Amino acid sequence: MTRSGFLGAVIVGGLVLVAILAPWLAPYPSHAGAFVDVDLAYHPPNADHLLGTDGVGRDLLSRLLFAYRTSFLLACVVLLLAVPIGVTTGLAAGYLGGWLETVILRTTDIFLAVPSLVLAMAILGLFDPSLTMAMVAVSFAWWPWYTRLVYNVTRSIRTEGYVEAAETAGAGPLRTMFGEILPNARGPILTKMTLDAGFVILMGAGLSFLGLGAEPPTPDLGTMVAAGTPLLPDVWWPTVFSSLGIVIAVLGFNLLGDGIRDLFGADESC
Amino acid sequence: MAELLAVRDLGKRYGRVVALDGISLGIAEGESLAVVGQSGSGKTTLGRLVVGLERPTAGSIRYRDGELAHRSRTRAERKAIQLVPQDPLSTLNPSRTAGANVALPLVVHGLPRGRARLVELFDKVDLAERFVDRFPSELSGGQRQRVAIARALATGPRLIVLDEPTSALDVLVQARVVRLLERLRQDLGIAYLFITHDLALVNSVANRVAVLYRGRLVELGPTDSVLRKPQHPYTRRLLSNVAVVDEAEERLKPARPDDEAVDQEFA
Ligand SMILES: Nc1ncnc2c1ncn2[C@@H]1O[C@H](COP(=O)(O)OP(=O)(O)O)[C@@H](O)[C@H]1O
Ligand SMILES: [Mg+2]
Repeated sequence: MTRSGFLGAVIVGGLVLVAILAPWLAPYPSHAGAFVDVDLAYHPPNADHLLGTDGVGRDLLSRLLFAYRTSFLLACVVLLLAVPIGVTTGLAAGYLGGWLETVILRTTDIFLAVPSLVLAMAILGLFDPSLTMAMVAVSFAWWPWYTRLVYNVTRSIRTEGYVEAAETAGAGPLRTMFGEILPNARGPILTKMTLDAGFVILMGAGLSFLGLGAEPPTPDLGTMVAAGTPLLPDVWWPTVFSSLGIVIAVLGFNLLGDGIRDLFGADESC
Repeated sequence: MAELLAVRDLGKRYGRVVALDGISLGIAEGESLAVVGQSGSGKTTLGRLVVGLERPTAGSIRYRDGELAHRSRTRAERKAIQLVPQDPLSTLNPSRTAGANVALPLVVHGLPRGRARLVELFDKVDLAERFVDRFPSELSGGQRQRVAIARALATGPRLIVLDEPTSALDVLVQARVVRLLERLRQDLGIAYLFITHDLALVNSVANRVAVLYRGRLVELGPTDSVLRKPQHPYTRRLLSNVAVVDEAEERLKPARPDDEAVDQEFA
């Protein structure tokens, strides 16, 4: 793996650990909830609160650590919904062809014509905003990208010798699609999933920044940025640190995604 | 000899492209029929129709007593006609071991697929047991082609369509694969539809030769007479590209395997 890919793996691995171990790592675990102590409001970074406190006196470091839980939950759920749908429709369109291909591709065209964030906002506008709805809305906007990716890969693989040998041997469409084609599409799919995890986190933060995502008091990177912005520039620490939190996550996933791409790229050439 | 496969007036169009037109030929049990012709002459298309990857747009394909052309094939028919695909680089699934590649037809047909059976199939193509666990990327071109042949043998076929099985291999490895195929044909009595654009190979691999030109069958006859007394001008032109027939024969007679090449093959 490349040096930057390795750095990405370290960042992502570290953040995952942070998210899992948040209750033990956070100096004030109770501050992740609806804790209030007005005397502590807006304390700048100091020895007790390394990243300072927010408007109701909660430790920002603690909330930041817990916010990664929200972000990773969002990324996991969105990918778990979008990838299987995208993979199945992409395989079906690319391998089976015919009217199914037309229907699937035209449907993805419609989805892809609207920017994902706008589409997710439109869906969220119809419901009460919540983290669950945000996850569903983002997934809804996301699957067509996987359909397209898997469709293109399938089209290039389906005439390979081993696919034709499997068909000649009598393998049915399901076995051929999931057993022969899909395993050879794992490089591009994994690469995209890793890159997308970063973008989904960014988009989730964007939605909650707009008040369309996680509701208070759930710790969330976007909500934290939103809460801090009106107080700039005097009370700079909530915005700066939560923004940095987003940047680090997105950067980590991007570096890792590029690393995975190189890894599989090198694999194919031999 | 009893006729195994009979093709009558076979045609295939892709839109306005006529890939095959009015092909009639038969293959007897245990016979090797070479199909030659330059690139684009329809050889692969003929092979795809015979193995059932595509349906013809005209004509008939009879296997034993069954008409295959316009229906899906029975399990027995699928087992009986197997394919060694054209491009040796993509002939094996890169994400499976060689053994798992060979096991696929066994899995599909619910046949025994234990280690012993795989080792037996590998042995038939002169590959040692350790190759069962190798990935295609760890195999040489000749070894991959052997694995592809083992996979085609797995269901106990009566006819194998070999689509340019040696064209990407260097001459010595090519000679070894050809000798292996010849031995398998003699031992197992399997018939071959041996597709190649290399007329020089034909003498060592085929009883009869079919010459395709732009999707049409221009000549069909015993190997000797087609090579020595070609009737169609196109065949003569093909042959002239191979230089003198006798010289070509001499050059490609499956020779003693060169020790170095053997070492490489089994490294
Ligand atoms: N799927 C296809 N769609 C359109 N044309 C095709 C297709 N497959 C083959 N052809 C055409 O049919 C002709 C014969 O091709 P092919 O059987 O591959 O020839 P060969 O194997 O002898 O090189 C060529 O002109 C080729 O372009
Ligand atoms: Mg061909």
